[in-house]
Amino acid sequence: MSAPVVDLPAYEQARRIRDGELTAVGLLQATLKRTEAVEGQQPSSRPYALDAADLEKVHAFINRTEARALQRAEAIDAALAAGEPTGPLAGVPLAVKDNFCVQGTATTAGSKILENFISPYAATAVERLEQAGAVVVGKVNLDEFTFGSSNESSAFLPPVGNPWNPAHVPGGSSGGSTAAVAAGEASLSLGSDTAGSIRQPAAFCGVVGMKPTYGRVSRYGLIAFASSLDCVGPVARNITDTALMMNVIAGPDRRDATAANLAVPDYLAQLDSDLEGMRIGLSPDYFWLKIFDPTTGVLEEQPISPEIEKAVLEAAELLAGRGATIVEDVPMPNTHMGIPVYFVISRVEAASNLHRYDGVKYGFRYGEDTGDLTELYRKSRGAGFGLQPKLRILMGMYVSAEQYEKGYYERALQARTLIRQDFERAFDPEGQYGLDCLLTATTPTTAFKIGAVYGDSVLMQYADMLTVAANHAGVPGISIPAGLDRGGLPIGIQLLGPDFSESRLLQIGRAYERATEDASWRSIRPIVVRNLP
Amino acid sequence: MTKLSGLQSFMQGSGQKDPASKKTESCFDRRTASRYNDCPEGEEVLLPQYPSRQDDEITPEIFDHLVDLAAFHLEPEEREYLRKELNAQLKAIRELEALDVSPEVPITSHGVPFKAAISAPLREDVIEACPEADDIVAGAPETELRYIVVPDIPHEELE
Repeated sequence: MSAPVVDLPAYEQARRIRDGELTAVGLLQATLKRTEAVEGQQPSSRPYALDAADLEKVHAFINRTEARALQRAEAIDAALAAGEPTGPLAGVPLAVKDNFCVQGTATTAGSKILENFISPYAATAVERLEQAGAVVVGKVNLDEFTFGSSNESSAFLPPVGNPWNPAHVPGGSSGGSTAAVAAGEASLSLGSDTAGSIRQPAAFCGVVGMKPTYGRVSRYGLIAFASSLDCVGPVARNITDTALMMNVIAGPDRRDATAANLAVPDYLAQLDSDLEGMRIGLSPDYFWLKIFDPTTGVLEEQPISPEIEKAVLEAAELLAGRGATIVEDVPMPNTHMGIPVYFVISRVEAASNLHRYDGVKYGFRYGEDTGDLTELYRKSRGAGFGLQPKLRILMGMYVSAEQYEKGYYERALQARTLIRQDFERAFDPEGQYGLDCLLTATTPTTAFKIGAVYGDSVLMQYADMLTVAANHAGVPGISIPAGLDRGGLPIGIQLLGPDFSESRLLQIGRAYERATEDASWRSIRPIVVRNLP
Repeated sequence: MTKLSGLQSFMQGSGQKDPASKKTESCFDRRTASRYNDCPEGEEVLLPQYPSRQDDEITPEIFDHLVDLAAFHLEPEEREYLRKELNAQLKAIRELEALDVSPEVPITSHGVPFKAAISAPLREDVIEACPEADDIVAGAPETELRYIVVPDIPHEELE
């Protein structure tokens, strides 16, 4: 049986539309029908009590922009009929994480404080995707201001369900993006990654997610969390679609001074090249996790899930079979510092970035009699922010206070240097290891249950322990689906490479995809779409 | 469940180890905002072990000062949760204290160095009209004649 059109790769959907085998409107309608079938109750900011029925649905979208999408799709069909140029993504349905501005649409960041904010402008990445012909079908859920790894901290509930088992989380913070793409509610999604927020949910939902090099993709129009760590990147169902999306979104931007002024290669060009001469590293520091026990001061070692470890080792064998050299025992000794360093740096930057929400210029303002302006600030911020933003702001203020700043913030920035040096040593072409990339697990476990971790802010943060180091170092990373565990939940493997090596990571990822194209797990579909036509 | 035997908790949540029962799940929301109701009343819930009060680094007094600086109005149950979590996070951050780092180790404020070769050139300093000015003003909660309206601004009369 052929795959439903909504589950086809984006490049194939675009080809069919270009060749007249499918219309953009037809694909949009099929996508909206799929969305109706899997979505369930629309998330809202009203008080919420979990209903068992919600654990069977995805509810990825905070806002669906169907009328706008239909207009765009009709315009693409008209342009094609008139023989006018469209773009490489003409007609492809795109879900945008709701921390990106899309002109004229609500942009909430998953927070009540921005619930009524209508964006007056578009993020550069969104603008480029729309110019390339992508059709924005809606804005998808996320942890509030991206502060979480499960999507449960959003002000808009029910929480997103994992399409492979909706009683489990999709990961976060780009969990709405990865769930929507996995369930065929969109073919592509735009995400953001500050500690693993694209890669961790991509692993949990069985899709591809790439965090490009810091500065590779413009952040203009992305609602800021931690400005030295935030990266914009693609979510897709396969490597080729990821490369296609990177071709569109990467590159300098006069509106973002942190966007690297560096030419963009054609990420599709090298995809199917062989791996002869490539050196791929395995590090024990990504198989054995060192977790600090504050009561004893000792780093406790724990292994990652055996099923995930097996998937990583099998991937190494398959890549070796495609010509790569596997280099074992690459030391990355500062990996375990990633989370404590992140607790400091990200909080300081979040506190700084979130001071702008004050109930005055835009967003939520506390409605009742507020006395003076100071009370307006307090009540608007008190009622507008959820617990996780409050926690991050308070921690950021504490660790950057004058009396603690040297002990915490400066020390964290020094530790960040050590983390960066681990990668420089591993990737140094003249060095002992000379790696093209590291191959690791993306996450220590597969998706956990809704309600199992949320509320414990320390435990939740450790969900990012294999992804966060790349954000500190600025290097690119990609998570690739690599099978299912015994419970039928997806496993993700991660490739990490030197600065601006996205082409190589995509090439290696594609080699893995080709090596596993006949694997039995590739024929299994997410549970929410299994009985759909 | 101890707080930092984290992997075990994830595994219980992900179904990789047989979760002993729902008793090991943290039902934060029943304790506070009651957003989820999947933790039946009366069932014993083993919560993470929080630091005892005498170990707290962020005392109620320090916490109040931070809340004041952050301009938050907080409900009592929020205060309790936030201070506990702040202290729990500080314990995790203590790992940094064990780091043997000499003063010569430079700080890194961005992972990828902003070298001149890849830095964006400065733009010409020219005025550009903002086509969305009306939309931006329209986004303010309360306006009058394109001014944003706010309540009284606290002030003192100088003698």
